[in-house]
Amino acid sequence: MKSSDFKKILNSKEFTILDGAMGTQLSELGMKNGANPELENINFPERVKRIAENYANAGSDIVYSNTFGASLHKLPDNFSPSDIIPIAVKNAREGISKTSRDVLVALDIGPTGIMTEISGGTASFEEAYDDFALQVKAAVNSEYPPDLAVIETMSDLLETKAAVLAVKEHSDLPVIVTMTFESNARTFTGTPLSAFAVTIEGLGADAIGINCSQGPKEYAALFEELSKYTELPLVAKANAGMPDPETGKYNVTPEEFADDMAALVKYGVKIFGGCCGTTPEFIKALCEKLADKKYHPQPEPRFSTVSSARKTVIIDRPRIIGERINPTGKKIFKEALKNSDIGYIVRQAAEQDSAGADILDVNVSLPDIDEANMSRKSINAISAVCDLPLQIDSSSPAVIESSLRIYAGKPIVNSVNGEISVLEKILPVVKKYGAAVVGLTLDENGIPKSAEARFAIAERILQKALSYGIRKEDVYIDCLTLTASAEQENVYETVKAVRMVKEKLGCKTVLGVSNISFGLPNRELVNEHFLAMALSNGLDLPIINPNVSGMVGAVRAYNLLRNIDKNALEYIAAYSGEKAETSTNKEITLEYAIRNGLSDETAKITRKLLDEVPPMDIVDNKLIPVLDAIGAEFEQGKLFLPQLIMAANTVTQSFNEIKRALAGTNTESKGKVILATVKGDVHDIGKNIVKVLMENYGFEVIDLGKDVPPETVLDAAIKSGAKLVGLSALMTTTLASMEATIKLLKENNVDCKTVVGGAVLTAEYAEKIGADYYAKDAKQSVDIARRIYS
Amino acid sequence: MNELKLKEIDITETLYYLGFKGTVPEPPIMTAIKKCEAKLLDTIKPQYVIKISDIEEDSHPLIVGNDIHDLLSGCQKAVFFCCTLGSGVDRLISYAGAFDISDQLYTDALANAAVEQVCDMLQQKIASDYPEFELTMRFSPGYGDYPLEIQPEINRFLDAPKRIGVTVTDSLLMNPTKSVSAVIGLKKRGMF
Repeated sequence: MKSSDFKKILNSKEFTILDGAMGTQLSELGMKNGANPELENINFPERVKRIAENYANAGSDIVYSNTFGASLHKLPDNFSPSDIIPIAVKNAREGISKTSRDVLVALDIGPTGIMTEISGGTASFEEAYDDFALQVKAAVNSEYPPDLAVIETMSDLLETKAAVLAVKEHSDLPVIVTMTFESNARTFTGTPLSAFAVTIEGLGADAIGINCSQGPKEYAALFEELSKYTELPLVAKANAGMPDPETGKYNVTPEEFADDMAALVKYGVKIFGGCCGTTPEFIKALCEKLADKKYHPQPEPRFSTVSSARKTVIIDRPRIIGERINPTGKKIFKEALKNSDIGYIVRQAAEQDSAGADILDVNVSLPDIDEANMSRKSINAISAVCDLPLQIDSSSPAVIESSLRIYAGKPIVNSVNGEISVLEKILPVVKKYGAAVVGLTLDENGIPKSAEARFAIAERILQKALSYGIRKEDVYIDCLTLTASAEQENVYETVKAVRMVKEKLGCKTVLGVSNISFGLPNRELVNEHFLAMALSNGLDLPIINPNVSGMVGAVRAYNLLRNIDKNALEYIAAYSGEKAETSTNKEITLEYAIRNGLSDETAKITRKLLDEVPPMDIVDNKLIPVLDAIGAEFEQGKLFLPQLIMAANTVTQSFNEIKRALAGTNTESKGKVILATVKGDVHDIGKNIVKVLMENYGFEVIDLGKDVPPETVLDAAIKSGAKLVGLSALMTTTLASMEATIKLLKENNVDCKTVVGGAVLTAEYAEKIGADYYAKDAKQSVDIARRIYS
Repeated sequence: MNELKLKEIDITETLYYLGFKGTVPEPPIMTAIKKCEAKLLDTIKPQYVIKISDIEEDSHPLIVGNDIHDLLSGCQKAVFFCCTLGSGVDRLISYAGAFDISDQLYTDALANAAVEQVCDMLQQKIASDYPEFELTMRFSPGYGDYPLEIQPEINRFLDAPKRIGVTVTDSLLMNPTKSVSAVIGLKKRGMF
């Protein structure tokens, strides 16, 4: 019934009026400086009731409960949400009951207080979700349940998603969601308005908008942008300008506020209120100002979008989906997955990003690994570093659902097909999490030969998706590439099907391109031409290897020739800097190149040497001695860390050439080393430096990343059989996790040594927490590894 | 908005953070540092929040420990501030690390120098806003006996999560990492 109350208010009045600030009002009524506002519900309920009453009298249709900071993390230690929330809602109800107006009470939910991992914080999705779920349950299971829920002042999109899901999964309350945006139209953690809109609308919010941060004048530009991406009623709850640092007074008057807020009507704002610094006078002025205005609903956006937490990609031109995060046929990738080497996967993401990908496919399926867990970990780690939206690629519905759940943004699901059982299993999940979906034109009978038959399956997939409430713009059809060497006569059927789907069905199209050339020589040539052919026939989303410059080039050239890349600006920007390789006449040695950071020269000299010298001889007789010499100079204080690292980094170029030369032959690594920055700590530069140096000396590094729980280290140590585990921590406050990790390894009798390092560590402290070795710098870490594996 | 603009980053400070002990590195390193500086300047978005308390009469809940009491003795006001380079900087540093550890190291050192510069600019602003006062040095949690545990309290007092997006983790790390909170005392000129 609650949901209908909110809808009734929304539909019966031109505009819905929310309340104003809570904190400043509490102070005005006598709350002590530094007191916890939520505890006022218990200690001074009359104050809280009075505020609700005043706002109701001023014209608010909805008042918020005094629960903004009632999260488990923010409340004082001996309080839980269930101690505060039922009383807070009751206070609000009693306050409004003193008026004759029909007013609803919203459960107010604010941020938990710690950001999620993708925004530089340490909270997992589940931790955030559990905190919000506690709040929602406390509210709905009480004697005075609220009429709706409001999620506000959010900055972290993943945290916001956790809150929306907590409301949806533990109540039937309608939900309003507002985030806080700066003048650059992004939240503090970098989420643009578009990503907020497409992600949160997809999760089923009833209204979305902006609160806090700025005054109402600054809101106009923000709403102009936000309104392009959603047809939901919009919510504006601005501050009364900025506070004075000494008096705390805000600098916008109720009249100015009301004027500027009313100007937002033209962008589709239907729900108005005030945030920090506003009072009942502001709400009253607002009501008066809006009295003769009309709501302007926004048209439904009819375009296809996907987004990460920090980037929205509109599919209004060919967009490249990078295919490299996929273990199929890649030995090193498989090893990385087995070892949970997150660093390797993140690097694949960053490389494709810089090579020109727009979206990244993430497939981490491998027999014998926990694919769901690996997929979530990879998605989190990639999302923390790389801004591109992701395509979740798995054949397992369980992996798809658990990945969708923790993804910050609006991803693509790859894939469903024409089989009814598959559609019925996966489409509801796609709908629930507001994703886009790829439909493959095959079914239980396989891939039909003709374009017409593939089109028929596409039609079936689309109809089914529509029946679940998924928009046509969110269904992408893959007409399936067949290899030219085996089924040459059907290659053009794929191209024809792409055209039919695009023209007759109006769906976006996607195609894995590289398969076309399987089994043929000079594959790149065939791939590039097939790509160009498909693009000309309506392909929107080529799935390719963006690291192959010819493939990205084919897309760029298409955009130029089709007048998409106006004035060839992007094309010129991409290629005008390219110069023919210049050959230096000067003879330089490998050592000189390494010491001076000349990466290209280092690679070139190595290639030349490889013609004459066996690969491993170059490592043992050329590279290691140079590294040793540089390391010695570093120890003597003749060289400094940046120079050591530059040299180490340059040597990597040499190793890459040698690895290429050795491809196929079985090379022994010098031994496995696990590296991790411990739980609670996010400083990983020291660890990364150690990694580069270790790899230079031929050790196989399993990089577990940062903020790594002890159990993950234990797990990796047991699985990999590494004899050395390196742990890093920068803060005194995280040394406890370092100790816990060492203790866990010892308790489980893992046959490995531990080495610890970090700014605040000393040899004595290392010994005290049970570490086997202390390394004061990266060079010492390598020396220790060499000793252990000698 | 409480935003500051940074045009260039102090190279001497940066080299100091990188561990060059008074020597100037060779040209390839300087070129690489300059490249990282350009990217960083594109990314940083310095913001701050300030609150000023009168401290003459009552004890202040955020002024804890001997060192800070000594620093503020004779002061009439205490300025609490928090400033940050923004969350984009942390991502820039991580992203650089996926390609080139040297760039990551340079960017990190540049960001450390930049956040100090932002603190200096803020300090100058306070000095010019309060010409009748002398400023003490700035003092941050973790210095002397001023406990790191006060960090979340200062953050809450300043409303830093809402105002500039700075939060403190359970392990007392600031997020974004390139953020500083501190106290500065204001002492009336000509007194004592």
